[in-house]
Amino acid sequence: MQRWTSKPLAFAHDPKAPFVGAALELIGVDQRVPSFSAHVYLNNTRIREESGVEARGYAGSFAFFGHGEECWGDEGHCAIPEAVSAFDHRAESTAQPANVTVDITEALTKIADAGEIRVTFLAWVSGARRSTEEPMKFEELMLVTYS
Amino acid sequence: MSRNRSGPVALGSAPIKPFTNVKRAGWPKRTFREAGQDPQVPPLPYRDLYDHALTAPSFTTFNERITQVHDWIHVWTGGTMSDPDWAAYDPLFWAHHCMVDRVWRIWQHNHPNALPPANYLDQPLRPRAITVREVLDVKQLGYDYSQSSASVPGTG
Repeated sequence: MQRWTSKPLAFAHDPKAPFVGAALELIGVDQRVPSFSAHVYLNNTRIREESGVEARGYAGSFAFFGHGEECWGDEGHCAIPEAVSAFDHRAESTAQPANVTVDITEALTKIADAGEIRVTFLAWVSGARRSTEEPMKFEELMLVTYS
Repeated sequence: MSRNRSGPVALGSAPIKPFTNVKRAGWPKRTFREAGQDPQVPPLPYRDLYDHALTAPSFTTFNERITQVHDWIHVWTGGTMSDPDWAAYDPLFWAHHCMVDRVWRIWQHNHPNALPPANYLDQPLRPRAITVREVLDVKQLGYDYSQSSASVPGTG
């Protein structure tokens, strides 16, 4: 299992203009990893592996269909094609980082006055619950709210 | 796609490059603006008009109010922006319509069950084979507008 806790994310909640949606965006997720699933917790850095989805701060889960370090595809499977548009930033190849979005609206609403948010991820390699491998790698974590 | 960026848009002039497969008579060689020069047009900002649109209780009323703001800004900017045939060639057009789209998104958040009239929903949006119903949720189009954002480094 992989455990990772973010640095504090500043979050100023304005009750006069409450958010109606909130999401965590994992930017630049490395796809050359084994498939994994992850639980996400807000402001509960002491979360334990066995705590599950009923634990304080649980915000959501997601699965990631990884490509694996090696490519077993045909020739060109991981080739990076030319961009269709300079403004289209979606990953077009498994050799490129991807983005993952997790809806945390309900969990963030409960702690909207906390001032700052620390996000803890617990991630497990698919089919290998006891693995010590750390499959989740990403460049940036962003907290976004919507009005 | 969901990043919310804002900032001043410089007023000026830009060369026009025709869209690749569109050829029409009367290309203006350059876009131009006559921002704020029409004494009949109220001065910016139009914050109160946007706020007024956001308080609309129904889609029909919202549509009327946001259209008013939209039109005022085209006319306030003047020049190419005030000419329906060529307005989209001024880069400011896209920032302006992005703001209109954003306000529409906020109004949708505040009125989650409100829909345009039924007879609009299956209207095709030419020249694409896409209908009004299919563009109601911007997330389905791959973007959204944020209220706030903060970020920290990832796993490293």
